[in-house]
Amino acid sequence: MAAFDTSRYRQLFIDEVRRHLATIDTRLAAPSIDSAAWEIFRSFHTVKGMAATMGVPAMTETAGVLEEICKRVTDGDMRGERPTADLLTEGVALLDRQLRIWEEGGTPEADPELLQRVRDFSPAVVGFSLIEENPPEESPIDLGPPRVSELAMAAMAELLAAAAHLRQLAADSPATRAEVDRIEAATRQLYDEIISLRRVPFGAISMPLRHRVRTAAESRGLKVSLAVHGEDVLVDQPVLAALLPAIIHVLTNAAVHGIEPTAVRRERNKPPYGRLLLSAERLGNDLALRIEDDGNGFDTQRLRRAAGVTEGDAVSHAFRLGVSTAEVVDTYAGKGLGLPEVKQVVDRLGGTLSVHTIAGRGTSFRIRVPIQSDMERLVLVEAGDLLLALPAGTEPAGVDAEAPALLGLAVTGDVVVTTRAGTRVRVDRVVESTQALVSPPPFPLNRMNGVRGATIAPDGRVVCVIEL
Amino acid sequence: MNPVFVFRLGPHSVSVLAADVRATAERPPLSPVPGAPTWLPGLWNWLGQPVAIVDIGVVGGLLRKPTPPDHVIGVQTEYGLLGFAASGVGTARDARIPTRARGLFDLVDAEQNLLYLDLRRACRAIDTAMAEERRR
Repeated sequence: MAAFDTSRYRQLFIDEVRRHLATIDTRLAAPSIDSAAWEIFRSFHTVKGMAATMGVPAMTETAGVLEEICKRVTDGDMRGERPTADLLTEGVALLDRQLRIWEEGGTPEADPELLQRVRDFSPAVVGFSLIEENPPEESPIDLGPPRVSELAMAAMAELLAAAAHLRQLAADSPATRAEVDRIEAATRQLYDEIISLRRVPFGAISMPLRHRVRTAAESRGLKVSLAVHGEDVLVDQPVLAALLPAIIHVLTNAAVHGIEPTAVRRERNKPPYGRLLLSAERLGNDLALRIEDDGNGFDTQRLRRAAGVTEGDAVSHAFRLGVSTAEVVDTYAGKGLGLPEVKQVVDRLGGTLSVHTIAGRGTSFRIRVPIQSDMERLVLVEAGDLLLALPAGTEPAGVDAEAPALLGLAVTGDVVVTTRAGTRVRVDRVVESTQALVSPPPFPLNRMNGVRGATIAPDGRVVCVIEL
Repeated sequence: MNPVFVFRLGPHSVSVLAADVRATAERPPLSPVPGAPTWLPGLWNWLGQPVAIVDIGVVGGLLRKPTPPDHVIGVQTEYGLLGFAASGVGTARDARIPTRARGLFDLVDAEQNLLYLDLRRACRAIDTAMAEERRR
């Protein structure tokens, strides 16, 4: 009988295990896993079966031991409370590491110490401390090395600029133009490939974030659960790496400052576990993040006192360096350094940040940043029935009904803009100045003069970037 | 036999290799491009990637009237993703595709009157049509 060829199923196995681990991780974030234990059991069981089929014994053993814990919960032998969930979370992290090693061609090994702890586990006797006196310095969340070096991106930009310049030089030579076409086609494919290589799913940070937030809350004797939405949203890796410290800070700040002790939450008719939400969404060329908690909300009076003022927008003081309302200074909070740095990170990425807080109900941070770090400043204009983008340097120049219409379009308005080249053209309306990713013009628009590229408007429309 | 994807260009049934098809959409919003020829009705946003939609029936001389882009089909070509306007889409089927097509549109099933669209030739035809536009 022919041997079973597993290579055909390699990617399927990797994708399926990742999907199951993400499902388990989401379920483990709930205050209690009692109701989800059967589902978690099924996922571990599936991972175990697939790993056995693919010949990865370390993963088979790990998943097998973990599924036993879930079975004890479903059988009613143990409660699915936090210590159980934490142990399973450690197991999920181990499976994730083992999968990565296998994916990279290595042979993952079992973790005998963890497996023994799992086998011996009994939440009644194991000394899980929910409150650590001195929380350790957290190790950074690792997104891995940059997938595409800055040098490669710079070279790509040079190639695009050179191709555009060559096209101008080749205006009178069909033979040269044909060669430019080839260069542009290859450049475009290369560009698409590089951009897709740089993108990582937002969910790549969810598992370590959950652990980080839980640990931070437990250091103060608080209980929180973190829900992450939009894990499939693809984000430019450098953007996610730059944003990560800000996300961590806002979340841990919410966990240790925002969430009330369980007793207080009960008095306020809130669930015993503080709820944190991290949501990612792609809006046009922007990544929109929502970070919410259902805790205390900002103490605006204390903020004003800390800032030494008596009136004004109290929340804005939280973004001033050195202003903190925390009574305890530790690893996680209280230095008055965090929120100003969050704002700096968002500013550096060319994004916006807003905060809404309601006393006793919670706080919501909205962060919006360009989804890719190599964005261009563009001016969007309406001309005729079209929405078009003009490159940076375009400036509003009053009104003039006699100025020539942009590209000879059926413009009825009299708004005039001056282009980067100094040309005055009439448009119907200047919509906005925005920062956007400009893709090279897709085939066959790359054969047209005057179209420099295309971008996606926030409403999803494709907008041509016009070079005048 | 090769798996192909069949779509309609007016009265014609046209097929492309199913492996080259990346996406289809029904009446997606298209953004017109100023100065573009009439056989290029606009740009389509496919998962954040701008894709030019081309009326290959007109470019290839199969049709005289433009195809209303009731559907669009995104295919992978040597120049990247390209969209075709279609008046309808059918289902996948098998067809005997010649190693070397006899033209831009090659009749591959006389009984079903099924044409095969050679993507390499389609790109060349679009290139030529664009060059003519530039000369005008």
